[in-house]
Amino acid sequence: MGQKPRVLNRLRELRREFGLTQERLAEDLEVTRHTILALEVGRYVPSIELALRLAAYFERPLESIFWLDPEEETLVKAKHPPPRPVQT
Amino acid sequence: MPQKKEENMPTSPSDKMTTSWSFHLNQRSNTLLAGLLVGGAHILLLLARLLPGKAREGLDSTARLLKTSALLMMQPRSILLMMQPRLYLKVFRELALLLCPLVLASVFAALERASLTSSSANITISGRLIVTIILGAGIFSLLFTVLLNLLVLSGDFSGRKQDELQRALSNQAAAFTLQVMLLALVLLFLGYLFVQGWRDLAAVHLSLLFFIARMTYLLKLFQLRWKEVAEIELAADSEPQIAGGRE
Repeated sequence: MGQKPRVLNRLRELRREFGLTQERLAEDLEVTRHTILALEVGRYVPSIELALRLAAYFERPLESIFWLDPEEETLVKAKHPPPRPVQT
Repeated sequence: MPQKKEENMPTSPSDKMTTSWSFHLNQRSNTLLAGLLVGGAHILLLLARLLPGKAREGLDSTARLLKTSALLMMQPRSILLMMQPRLYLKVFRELALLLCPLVLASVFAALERASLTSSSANITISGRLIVTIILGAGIFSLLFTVLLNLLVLSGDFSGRKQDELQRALSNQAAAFTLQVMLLALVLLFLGYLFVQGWRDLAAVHLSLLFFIARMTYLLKLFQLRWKEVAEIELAADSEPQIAGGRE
């Protein structure tokens, strides 16, 4: 928290698209409103579980809600070339 | 999947609740506590003027945090949130756990010292010590209550299951407290080794350790949680609502 977010999201747009308040979304996902706030402003990266629950809640693919910062993605790819599957 | 463009739930507190006597009583106590926070903020701002660079920034941001917290405490929804009877009981229990060991240990130590030496001067000194301890405990209990009330607002002291962000910050605060306690225990250990007189006051020292542990944890948790929360809450984005989604 407090650093430049490396995982970006479009939670706020999605929530507004569905006309939901932060309070309602927090209640439905059984988290506090502050967690929703922190997610929306990019101060907190959720656990895989919460991210998957959000994806299931909005019925959207996970990567359409959360994605890696393109700069970070380029950096990872530059440092480590993608591994190839082992031929069997 | 949520339905699109659903009607939002009304979030304003009802008039009946805000006109009740308990609401007014809580409003008064919150005004007092908010006043303390604002006073603390002013003191920090004065201190900040004396300091250079980063230290000044730190004090400035803490003062801002205290002011925004005070403003939040005054909102009717915050008062309603704090009015729940089970929270009173919890705050009372926490206060008792915090202060009883310290006050008892100090009073017993003072009485013991007075009984060993029967001169009237020593008894007067012990009496003063007890009064000082009780006054000090009163001041700390007020600070403790403010902290607990603020943590109630951010949903960290409601007795409900914590969510993952709360757990993460609670763990950070616990880890910090452990570090402080380790340092305090090392100092105490060295004190017992080299200062004979300290051993007689072991009960006071242990109760003081409990006290410091609890206060450190709460202060750290407050700092971690409210550093994020208070600023965002009053940033007045399009949906101004009060904290604690599940309270």
